[in-house]
Amino acid sequence: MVKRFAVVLIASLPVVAAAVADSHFDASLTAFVNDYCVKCHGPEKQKGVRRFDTLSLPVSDSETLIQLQDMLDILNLGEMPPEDEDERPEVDGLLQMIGMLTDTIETHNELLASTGQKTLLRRLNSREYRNTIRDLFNMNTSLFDPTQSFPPDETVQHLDTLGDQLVTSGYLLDQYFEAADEVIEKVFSVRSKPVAREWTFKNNFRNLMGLDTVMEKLCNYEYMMLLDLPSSIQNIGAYGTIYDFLNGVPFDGYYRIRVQAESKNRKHSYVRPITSTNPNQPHELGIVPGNILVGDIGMPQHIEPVLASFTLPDDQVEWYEATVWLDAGITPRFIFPNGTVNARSANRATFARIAPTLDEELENDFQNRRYITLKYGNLPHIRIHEVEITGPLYDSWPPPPQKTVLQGDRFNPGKVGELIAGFATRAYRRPATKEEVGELLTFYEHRRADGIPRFRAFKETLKRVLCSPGFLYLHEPSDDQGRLTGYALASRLSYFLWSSMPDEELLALASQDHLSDPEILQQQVRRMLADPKALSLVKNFVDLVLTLKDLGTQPPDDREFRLYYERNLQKYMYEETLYFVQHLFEENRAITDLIDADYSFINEPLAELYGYQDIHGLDFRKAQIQDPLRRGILGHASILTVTANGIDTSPVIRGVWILENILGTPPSPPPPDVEPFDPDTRGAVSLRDQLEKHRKNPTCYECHRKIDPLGFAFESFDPIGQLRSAYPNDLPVDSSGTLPDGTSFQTVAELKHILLERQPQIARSLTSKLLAFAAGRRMEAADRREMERIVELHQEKGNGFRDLFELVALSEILQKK
Amino acid sequence: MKPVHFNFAKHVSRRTFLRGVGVCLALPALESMFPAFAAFPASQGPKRLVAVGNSFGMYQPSFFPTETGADYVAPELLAPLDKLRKSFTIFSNLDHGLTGGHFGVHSFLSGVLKVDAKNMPDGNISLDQRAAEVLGSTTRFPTLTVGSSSGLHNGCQMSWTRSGVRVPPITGPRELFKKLFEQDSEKGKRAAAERSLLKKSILDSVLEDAHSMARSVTAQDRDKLDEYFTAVRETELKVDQGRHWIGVPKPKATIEEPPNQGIVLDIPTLYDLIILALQTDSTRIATLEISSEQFDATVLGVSGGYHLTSHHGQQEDKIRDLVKLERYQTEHFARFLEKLDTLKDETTGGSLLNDSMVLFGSGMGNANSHTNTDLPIVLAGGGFNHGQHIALPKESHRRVPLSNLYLSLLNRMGIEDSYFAQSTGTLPQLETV
Repeated sequence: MVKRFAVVLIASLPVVAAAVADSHFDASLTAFVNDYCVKCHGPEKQKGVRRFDTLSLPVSDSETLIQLQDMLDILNLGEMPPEDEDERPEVDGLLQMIGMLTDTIETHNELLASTGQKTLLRRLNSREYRNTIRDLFNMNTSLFDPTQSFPPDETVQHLDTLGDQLVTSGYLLDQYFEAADEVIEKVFSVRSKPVAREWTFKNNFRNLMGLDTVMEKLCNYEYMMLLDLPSSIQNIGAYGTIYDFLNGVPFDGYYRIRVQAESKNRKHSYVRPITSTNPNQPHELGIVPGNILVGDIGMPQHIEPVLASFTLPDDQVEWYEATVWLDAGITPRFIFPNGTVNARSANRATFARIAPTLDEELENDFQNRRYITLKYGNLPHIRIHEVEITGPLYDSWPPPPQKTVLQGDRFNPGKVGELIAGFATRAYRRPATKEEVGELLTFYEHRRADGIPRFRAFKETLKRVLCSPGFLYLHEPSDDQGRLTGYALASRLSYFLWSSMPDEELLALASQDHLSDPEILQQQVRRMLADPKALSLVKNFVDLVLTLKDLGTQPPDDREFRLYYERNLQKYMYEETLYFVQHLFEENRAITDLIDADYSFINEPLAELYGYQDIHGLDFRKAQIQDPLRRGILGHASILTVTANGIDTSPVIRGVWILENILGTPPSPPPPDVEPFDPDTRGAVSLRDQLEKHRKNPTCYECHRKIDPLGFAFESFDPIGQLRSAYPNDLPVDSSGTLPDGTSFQTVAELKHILLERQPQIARSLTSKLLAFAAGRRMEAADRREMERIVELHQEKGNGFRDLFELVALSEILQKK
Repeated sequence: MKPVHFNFAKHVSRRTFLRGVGVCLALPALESMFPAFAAFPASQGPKRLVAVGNSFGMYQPSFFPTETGADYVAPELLAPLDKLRKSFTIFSNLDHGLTGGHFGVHSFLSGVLKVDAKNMPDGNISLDQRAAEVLGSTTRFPTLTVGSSSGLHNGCQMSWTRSGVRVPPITGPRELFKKLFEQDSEKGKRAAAERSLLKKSILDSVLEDAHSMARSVTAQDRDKLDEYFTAVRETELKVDQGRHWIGVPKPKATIEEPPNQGIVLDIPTLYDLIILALQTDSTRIATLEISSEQFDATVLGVSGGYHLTSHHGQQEDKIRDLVKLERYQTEHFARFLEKLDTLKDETTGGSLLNDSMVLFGSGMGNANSHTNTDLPIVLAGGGFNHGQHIALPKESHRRVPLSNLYLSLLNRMGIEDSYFAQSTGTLPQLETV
């Protein structure tokens, strides 16, 4: 039938028609319109203020395209021609027209989106901005994110590097100013070396979750009590905070934290909901940063890496120590990652078990109920008895960011011109032009003339550099053949492989035009891939290609899927895939491992979810995956959760996900206004039958026959990736399906075999995505030859995962504007 | 129950598939990908937004009418509003599909729990703050947050920035009065003036860089660089506006400086001050939070405190007390609406109410059972076709997120966002006049 429909699942690329004119379409449409439309929408009548005899074909303007869209929508709805009209097209003719209209509109839309194989001047996205600040200043940004108030970057198929999509607005520019201000003030926040000091906290550990009176009665604030894991909404104190240190450390720097802690009641005999902790698992203690100025200190915050963690023996008071980086204003907080979920809401159940006879008497006496629960309940928890903090400690002085900017130990006003030019050159990732340097010095002089002292004017000039288009945009000049200049190529490579600015070695090679030497280029790409900064590629792959950036945007129902919350699974699901992809990358494993690897990286909470034995503790380890259903990333709970909506699974969403992200053949979007598929999971009709019914509509059928079978294969997994053989309403799961080409399968394991046979298509899909990501533009029909070359070469080299990144980095496409 | 929807909370996702709204193929498809931050939209709609919320919700049987449509009988809590029946709509079965009890109340205007904020593209930014991002620079105060800053578990916590910072309310009428009418200190003015001067110099100077870059790029790139030029102009305008306010004396107070008397007695005064703020165009976006902090229920003849009363345990006398506390709130809300209705908007000549969208509600559905579902939601003013009780689908798989209403409000103000929090579209039931 329609061209686009035939290509799915056979080796293919999205079809982009190069030619606009399609005389067959024009003739068919004209005939159709004359036969069925002009009577009411022609020269005599213009019902609904629409007239179609004057359509200007071939399509050349958006006006006509809007008219076509209008026609398509109404045909899809089946509203035109009207029922009572004598002249109505046959179903086949109608479907054919719908198909042709859909195709034509899509082709023209793609042309509209085309950038003519050119990368448009693109700005840094938030990720790149933050990393660039880190490398430009040699700054520890582990707890510092100047981009936090930036609006989210626009994405196309999850990619956040496409030049034409990344827009700059007044709001964003204003945020750039604020960020520049924040960054530069931070660089110079400490001018003379502070003397390290020591803080000791032995008491006054108040509870910030409204339980002060309880804790006072219980222990007179002598210890902190951690019961909940950090993601608990209704917690009693998931974050142990030092009440006398809420404003945090005074300076950026390293601090030694010593903490005296004790694990209590690990082996309990309670059942849920009293506590959900695993009695077989030793308690873990973690240290995370907290900032009272950016949000609730008793809740998760945006920047919250685990700074240190310890496994605690039972019932022993012991000291633990770690030296960690803290920014000024950050206070350490203590967490209990394998604590219970929502200890606060379990109070009623706990109390009923501990003091059933008092239940009525104390019904509304919340404080006393809580007190009795905590005192006599023997609930598993961690106590923190004492904390010592020493710092700031420095490896060197002045700190690296100041040294980098000042090119020495202190500000030398005599060298201000040199310093500014040097900084701009680094910030712009190419030599700042004479004109640019002149403008910066003029700015400096103007500020001086306004009465601003030298050092302040210097700092303002640095802020000014960070607001310049030279810093914010990737300027990519090219020669007559469209080849990027050395500096532009250096930035292309580093923003692809590191998501950050080029380092000195790369810039030095660029300055001597050595990157045009293929051998040197390859050496550099290999060097960059081996650098720890290349781990950003792994994360980007997981976030953008495997779309796990979306994990958590539709949290599972907390009553149906308690395990998800009780074991903090969102975090571990994500980490499984991250470790897995990192392994593929570091070991250069074949890309087919994505589909059928018989290993993965698991910890105990995930093992519980998957039903595996003998994996203990929160640490991840490489584990053999025996069950063929579970092999590869399509068996990872992360992928299965991100493709569900938190309540139930949808074969449609999972099917579309595979078409888009694994096979690279996204289906057309559904026509607007058709009755959406509205799953009803209560009744006795299975989802499969409901979808079957939906597919009866011929306009839906064309796409759904490609989407649904793929999705059905994954029905053996529930919305958080647990295996199941029946739905909650007891209907059995049927994961069989037949693909449009007739291949059929019984289980997802069999589907994976079919996918493996289509490995070139998967390679092509990944290549296309990585190229788009790296070059900052969509791939177009004319890029196909180079893409095919990469896919072939990749296969010859053995399909290595890291090799694919190398081939993309070395490709023609990357070296051209 | 959570609403079933398939929104992956991204602007134009393929997964708009089952959302029931068709962005899809509609041309120009590009339009839906336009920046979410197009500044200064020329809006024909209402210019103002006021949101009022409390910590413990409204006793549902006395709030939601039994009948739907225009001919509903106003239950006890809505009775005070009945005079303005044509000027507001009551919604039932709207919520954010979240849980958490008191710990979920803070999602009222954001649709996102604090714990989930880091996963969301815009964090847990609240309706008022999102509106202020785009429209706030036209007035001296981009927004005014007013009311209880604390209370049980930190109170309502209604306003949030995109980076997850709570915007704390100004609690006392006296402080609000001072903010609105008392002239700023010279030192404060100087610091603000210096900052805006620096911004201005930077903008002037980077424009030179942009011009020289424009000379060395392709025509296609020059078009792209135009965005930067436009951004500079927009920001300059904002800076000028900001600087303008530093120099402009605040409006003269038409009332005496009010005392602080605790939230119960302060409610009418706070409403009056919000009206003054709108009237003097000091702000166009305001919120009022009512929580249990210094909520002296005895003033209203109720002993036992607001929170405890809300745990009525189905005891009749306690329910009566609770309704008394809530009725007091709807009475003053009604008075607020009536005043807005009689005042004129200087520019349009219509009533201030017609030019203001006023939302009333809570993040708590049923305080007795700690649910965050079926929130009490009233929308008044804003030039909508009001006068009805709109009941949205009750069934778990057909529920409509409250964020859909918020997206409608943003769109109505001329902010052409394509989503808000976990919205699945706008609320088509809401028609404009």
